[in-house]
Amino acid sequence: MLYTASSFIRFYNELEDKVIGFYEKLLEDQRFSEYRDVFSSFIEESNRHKDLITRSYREVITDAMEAAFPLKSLDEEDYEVKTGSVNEQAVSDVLNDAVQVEGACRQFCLDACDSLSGLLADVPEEFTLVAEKKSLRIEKLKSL
Amino acid sequence: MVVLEEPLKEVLNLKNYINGEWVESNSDTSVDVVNPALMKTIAKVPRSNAEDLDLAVQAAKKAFPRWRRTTPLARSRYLFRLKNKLEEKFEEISRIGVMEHGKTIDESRGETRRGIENVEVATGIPSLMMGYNLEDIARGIDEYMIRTPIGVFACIAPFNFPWMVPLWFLPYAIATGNTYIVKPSSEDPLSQTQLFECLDEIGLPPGVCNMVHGGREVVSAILKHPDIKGVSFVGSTPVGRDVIYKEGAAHGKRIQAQCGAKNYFIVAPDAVVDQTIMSTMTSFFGNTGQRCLSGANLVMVGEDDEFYDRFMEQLTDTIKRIRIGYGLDESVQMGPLRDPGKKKRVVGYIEKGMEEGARLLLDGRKFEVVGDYPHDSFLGPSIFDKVTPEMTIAKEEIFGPVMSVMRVNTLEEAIKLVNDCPFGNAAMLYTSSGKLARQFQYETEAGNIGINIGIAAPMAFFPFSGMRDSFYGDIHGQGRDAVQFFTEQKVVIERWF
Repeated sequence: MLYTASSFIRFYNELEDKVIGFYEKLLEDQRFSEYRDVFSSFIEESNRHKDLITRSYREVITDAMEAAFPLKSLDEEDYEVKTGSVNEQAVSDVLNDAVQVEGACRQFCLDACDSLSGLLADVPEEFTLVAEKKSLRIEKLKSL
Repeated sequence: MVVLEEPLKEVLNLKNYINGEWVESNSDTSVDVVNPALMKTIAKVPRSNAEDLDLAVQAAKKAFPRWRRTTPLARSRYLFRLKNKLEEKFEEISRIGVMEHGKTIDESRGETRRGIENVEVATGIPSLMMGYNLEDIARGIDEYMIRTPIGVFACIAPFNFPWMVPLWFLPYAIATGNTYIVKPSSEDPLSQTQLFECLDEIGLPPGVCNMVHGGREVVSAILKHPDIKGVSFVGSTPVGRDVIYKEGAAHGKRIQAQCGAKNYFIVAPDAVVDQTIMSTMTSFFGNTGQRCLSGANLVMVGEDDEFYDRFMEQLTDTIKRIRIGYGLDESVQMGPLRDPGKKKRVVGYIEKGMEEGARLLLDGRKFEVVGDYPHDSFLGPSIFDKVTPEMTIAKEEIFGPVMSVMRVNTLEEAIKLVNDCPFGNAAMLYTSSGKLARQFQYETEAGNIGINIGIAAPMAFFPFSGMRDSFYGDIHGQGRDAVQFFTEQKVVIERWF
């Protein structure tokens, strides 16, 4: 369970690392060579999102804020992503996995935003922004 | 459960920092710095003496003329470099804060950030330090005011925010051209040591910033030393009022003594309940209640018993779920008290509350700790209701995780309670009514007012106010007040023939 803002931020970074790791595998797979630019841009954007969320947390957290006490705790298991081995899957299944990975990350961003709303004001804003970007990615992935 | 890595792996032998060098104290006695969650010694801090302090004063005094002549812009650039260093070490400093004090990692990062914010504000010194002028005050005569630095200043730091509090003062003191001495809390001096490592690395001229560890002997020497021009103190009211303010003033020093508190957290019947309850969590139990801005007395306004019962039920249910443990465990929401002695003191207040007839709704003496840690310094949150103003727990600063709940019928009665209290550090009101909020901020005699804010901690560009028994002195810390405290105003009247 995630009970504190600190754990929210760490878990988000872990999720985003999974997303990055997933696309890095796809970049190595010749079957996805035509999407190389798309996945590379996703990786770059994910790294920017990690910086954005972490910086936002670190720059607004002060002892006046209720960082240790989010409105509700979140369960990591609700955002678990299970992906198959890229090499052993059909292209369509891999792309479905990508949608699932991005969807889990998006849902976490939305839930974290709710739970931290009003507490660390900048952080929920940034989580919303990342969630919006994830929605765009999901659309893009579905169109591939 | 993720426990963050400890940045300190071995027991450190701390040194003083004088004249740009790390030096051993002249004293051969030291005290242990103990991590209160683990009850393990993490450092040994020297009990420096008056001789050590004098060495620091002489170094600071010698550095002053040159530092004073360093331009404000150049001085601010040292602070920009310091800011960058502190950002690099942000996480390390924050984790050390957890280890030395016991607070949670979120709280410690908040403290680190608040300290850095003061450095950031002080970088604006070329603007902040400007005086003012008027031409033709008489025909052909101009007059202007300039701010000039004064000399050597010192800070006596508290244990509850050992990193942040010296940064309420030091950046402004040196930015305005003074030289400085910090006496860190001997209970948790490690984060200050980190600060001085950063100050060392930015290449400040020797003697501009100095650190002398120690206890009462060093404090006494600071207050009496003829070459120290002013002292900033944060701590309890008895020490601030009876020792720092009186002794310092008797020796001709500028004094700002930010002292104790008994803060009221008022809940109006139209308060937004969910947000109010979340705010009580951090207000009363953040930093394990060891905060001069903490809520202490929760005052419920109104005659609606049903609202009161519902609110208290939700409040108690939320507070009893606070997770207690080692602050480096990210799942933990409240750490231990600073040491077993402080826990004993708080337990004494819990017993006193029961003896005097308050009803203990939540007993913090019964608690569970997340993880396998010794219970010596841990204490759970406590809630008393049926508290009356004459009870000890309603009057005295407990400095621990104890909430005392009172009921009144009107906001006027609540304001009277606040104003009858000898302390005047902070007061908070939760309401949806602008009218009530204005009445509260207008009539309440407290230095830091929170309207739907549980911890009314002024940002670095505002003064950390405080009134009555919560502050002794004339000028507060932080922001423009700090610039005023650390400068003399010189008026020049000028005519040219």
